[in-house]
Amino acid sequence: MADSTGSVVTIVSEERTPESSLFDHVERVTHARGERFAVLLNLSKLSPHHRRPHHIRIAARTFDSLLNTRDVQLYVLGNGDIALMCKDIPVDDVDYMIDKLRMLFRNDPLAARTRSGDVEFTSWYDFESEFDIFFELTQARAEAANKIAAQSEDASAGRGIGAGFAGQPLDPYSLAKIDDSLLRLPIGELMREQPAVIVGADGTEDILFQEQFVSISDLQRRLAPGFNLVSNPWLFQHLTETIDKRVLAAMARAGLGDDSGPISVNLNVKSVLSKDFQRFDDALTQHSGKIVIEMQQIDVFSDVENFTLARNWLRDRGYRVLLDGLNPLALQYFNPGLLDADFYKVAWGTEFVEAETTEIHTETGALVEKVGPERFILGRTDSEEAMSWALTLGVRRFQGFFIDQVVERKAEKMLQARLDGRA
Amino acid sequence: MALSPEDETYQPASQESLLLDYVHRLESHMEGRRAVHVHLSELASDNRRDHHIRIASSTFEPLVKLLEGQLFALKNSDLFFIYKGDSQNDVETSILKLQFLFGDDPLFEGESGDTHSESNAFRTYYDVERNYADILQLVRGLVMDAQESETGGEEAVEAKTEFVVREERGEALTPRVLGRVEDALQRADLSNMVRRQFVCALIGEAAPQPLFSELFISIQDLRETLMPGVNLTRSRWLFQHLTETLDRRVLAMLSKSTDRSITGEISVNLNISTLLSPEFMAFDDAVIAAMRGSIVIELQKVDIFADLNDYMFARDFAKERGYRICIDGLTHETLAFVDREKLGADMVKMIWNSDIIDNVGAKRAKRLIKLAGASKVIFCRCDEEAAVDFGQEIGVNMFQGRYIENLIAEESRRRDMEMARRRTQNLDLLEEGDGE
Repeated sequence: MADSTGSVVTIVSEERTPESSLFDHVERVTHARGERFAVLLNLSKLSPHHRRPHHIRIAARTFDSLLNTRDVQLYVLGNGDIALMCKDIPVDDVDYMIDKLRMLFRNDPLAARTRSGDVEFTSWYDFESEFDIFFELTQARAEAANKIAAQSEDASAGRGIGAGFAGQPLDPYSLAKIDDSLLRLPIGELMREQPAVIVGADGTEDILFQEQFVSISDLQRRLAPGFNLVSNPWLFQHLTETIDKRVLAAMARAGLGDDSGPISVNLNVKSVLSKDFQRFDDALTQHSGKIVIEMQQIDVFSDVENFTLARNWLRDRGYRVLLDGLNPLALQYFNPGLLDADFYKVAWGTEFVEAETTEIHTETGALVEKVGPERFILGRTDSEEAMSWALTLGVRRFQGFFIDQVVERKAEKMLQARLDGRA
Repeated sequence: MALSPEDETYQPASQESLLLDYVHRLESHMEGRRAVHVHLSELASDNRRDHHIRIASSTFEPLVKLLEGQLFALKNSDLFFIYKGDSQNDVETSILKLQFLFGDDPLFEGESGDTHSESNAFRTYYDVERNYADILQLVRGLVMDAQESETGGEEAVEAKTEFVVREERGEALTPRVLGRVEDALQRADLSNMVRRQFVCALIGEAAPQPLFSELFISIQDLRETLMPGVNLTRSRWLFQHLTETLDRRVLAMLSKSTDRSITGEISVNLNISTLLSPEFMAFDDAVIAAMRGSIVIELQKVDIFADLNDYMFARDFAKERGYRICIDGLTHETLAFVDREKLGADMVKMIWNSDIIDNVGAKRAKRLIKLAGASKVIFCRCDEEAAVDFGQEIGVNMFQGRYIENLIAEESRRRDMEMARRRTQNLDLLEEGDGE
């Protein structure tokens, strides 16, 4: 991997791991503990979203001025943690820099949560009293790191298909090849569906629509093993345009049964304005009332003017329009109501609840109220907690793994009831 | 108008000649027939791209399918629909839909909403029986126009429109072409493609005061050199990727050049991903700390909304180190989405478009600018005086664009002349002194 955490500020060319360099340093000062202390910044405990290589790189840079003027050494460890070895320097000076760093990560629960307690974001070791603890800790880390370094060589042979979206970053040439193979691939095999539901006052849920989508992880496995299709947002966006073409053609061919329930389809604004969509529209026009078109925030913002045109036109033809790709953070920064969509899908994540102040929650609630709670759908609902968060905002429409289970259980129950009835 | 490749190789009979043929045949059974001429060619150019025309045409499709009428899509973007009189209500509904679709076009400004009169700026209705001679003459004219534009008409085309046409056609930027271009970029000498354009304060009639200059790579030069014939604007996302590569080259160039480029207050356009990259760290090292305050980093709105988390992280980092942040690429339509203060940006740049005068109006525009913070808004791509006039009227006083560059040039000419005049005056005085 070209840009893994290990390659950040640490010295890759050296055979040694940063962990063992740190341990060397600790060993060296065994007999000169006076006026020394160490701070461990537990950046590995940040949410994955906040500990990508560039975050760690910049976190390390925050300490530049200390490194230049004081007797401080910095180690970036393989897991993203940063260790500072300090000598003859007021604790407050270090603390000041850490506060700045914490500000940088204030949207992360780790930094937000432990504002006063400060137990998780950093760990401090005064060498006068806690040297032994730090010694053992760094020793253990060094050993573990050496083991991993030795192991990854053997494992690499079979790595190929990364879990989730691991893999080599996508480049234009590989994208071109994937584009080509996409044109030959029967896209139907990669189409999946996931229900969005509306929860009634009595707690029962009805299907709002079934989202039809191409599984990107399957696509990656089939067409580009070893590559990470979402590594670059712009190349990925381009890929979705190719996917749109195939999906539109496939759906136009397959049509929609008269007894089919409402569905949703993900499209780029450009695709909605294309000839491919015209053909789709020709084939499915009598079903347009059951079709929701989902468009991504990033795409819509890149060309609001054409989005407006597409939205008006779609609506005129009877389709409904959904703005996808929002998150609670986005809601703090702009009013999606200005885009006048029929639905807004907000993706949920624990980090938002944990970092959310009551003030922000109230603000979000007011915005939802203003735009209309009936227009909001909570996406990525993966737990009961997610659902209750949204319910407090008046949101009653949901989609996500948790909903999948609920819907499945309900279907099973109905099936069982029918079987029982027959028995 | 951009045509898809398949259209370009295949040359069917023109819609105009088909229409003429149809009108001729109509002569013997024109009873109860009506026609409508939809003047899409009168719409602002932004509103009559291929997809607009396609969508407009599709509005008539149901009637065509019911054999109620025949549609002709003309070369100049106009539509001509000939139909049976009993469909009049359906046709009027279709026209209304179109009017709604293009509702923001200046063409409808000042329209009284009168939907019944036979003719208005957007469409003209005809009773075929009554107006047959007029229709025939009109259609003949259309055929002639179409032929002319096919052959010798090009001479009359202004340089500007020619550029637009070229821009709209051209080979699309495909991933493979992008790969090749990015490879070439690694070796290309970009120094002669660097352009500099000033952002100026313009208060009243006073001479323009340069605030900072934007350093950028001329995309036109780049295209001419590395990818002639490739249309960059047709693939937004791949172009965005290309800018990431450009960013790195620009930063490398700026880090190295100590003399020429980094002088005075400057701004550079960067992607957020670049701001967080090792290349930016190297640039940051090369810049003297005191200089950072005089560097403005321009970020694109699409980049910001792509990942707000990353934006805030990058912004905090950059501001902490002393750089100033400007959000670029806004239009009067998108300005309202950007809460400048909340996003913690020092400035925002709005692309000038004269549409704002008619479509938004001074009153609403003024409110829009006030919300963003009048002293923080820059009007960019100002090609005409109207940009400055209107901007000043609504409280904007920072401008950038070709018109501003001209003002600067004029001002320096004026100053040169003034200097020369004074010099001669001084000489005169000296001579007078000598004479005594």
